[in-house]
Amino acid sequence: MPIRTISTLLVALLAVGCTAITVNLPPITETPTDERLSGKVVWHDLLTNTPEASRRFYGELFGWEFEQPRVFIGVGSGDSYMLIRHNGKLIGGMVDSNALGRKENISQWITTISVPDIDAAVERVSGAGGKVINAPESIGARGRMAVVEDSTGALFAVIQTKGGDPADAEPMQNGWLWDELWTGDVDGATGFYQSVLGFQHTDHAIENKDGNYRVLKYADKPRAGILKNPFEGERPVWVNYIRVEDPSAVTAKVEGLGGRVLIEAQARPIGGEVAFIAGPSGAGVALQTWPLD
Amino acid sequence: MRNSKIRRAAGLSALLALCSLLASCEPPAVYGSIGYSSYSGGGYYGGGGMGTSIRVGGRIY
Repeated sequence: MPIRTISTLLVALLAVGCTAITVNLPPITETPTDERLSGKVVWHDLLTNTPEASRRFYGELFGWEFEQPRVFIGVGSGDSYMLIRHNGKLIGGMVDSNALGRKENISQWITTISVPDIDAAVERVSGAGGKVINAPESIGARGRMAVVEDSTGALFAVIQTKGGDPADAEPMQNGWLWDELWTGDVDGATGFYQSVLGFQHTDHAIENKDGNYRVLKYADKPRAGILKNPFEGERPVWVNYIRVEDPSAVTAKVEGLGGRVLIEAQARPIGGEVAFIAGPSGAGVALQTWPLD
Repeated sequence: MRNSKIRRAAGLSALLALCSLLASCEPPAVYGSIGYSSYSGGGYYGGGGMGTSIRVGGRIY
């Protein structure tokens, strides 16, 4: 290609400025629904500074498969962002946090909640006592996404999907089951999520001495829980639960795969078992049997 | 011939300058602004697991 042509192309690119460089991620569901389910946790991204070890960890424990997106995502090298599949379905993504250029270990699972109008939702964040960490940004075919902190300091993301949200379905074994906010200020957090995302809530006196278990609902559909942070002094966090058949069988393999068992499998007063583990990068995830009996 | 070489050199210089300008564009990174890990605090890394005295929640229905 002649130099003049190349130069012309570059001048054209420069003319449109840096906006020409965009992240392009595939949709969260391969079956477009064109329906948005407000308040539903529709995606989970793992930020990890140990991507290879994390792939092995989640692959061995839960049978998850990792693949590169078929489109150029616009940033980093080819494996900076991997899609996670389980039983052939997309269930999440994995971000190599080393590619983000951060010195800190920011490894964690990011909970992403669907909103019908991301600009309106993010606009309400500050007024409700939260903080916008990353303003709404187009991420290609996936839609528009923002990262925010609630009024108690827990980080999460909101997304306005382009092709719609995945339809509600029975949770898969070794797939996502539930999402729960751990915070020291249950009432304060409830007010935030009501104001910003329009949740209602119900309380259930079924757990333990630490108080009721609060369920956030949207259009009468239970979407997430809020629990008084069981780890005193730890910062508020969204915790994601994976449905497993036998938590003890999973925790027995965790250390051999480079992770840690933070809470051994325990029976719940309401039925079933739960456990809490961390992967090789330190990102935590909970395990739960389902249904409760 | 000389003019042609000068034009070629000028073109290459312009090309390099434009490449350099484009390289300075920060690609958007949704998670690039996150400054901490939710799990990097002392509690989760406190010595040797948390036992079973701590109760977590989970789906109820």
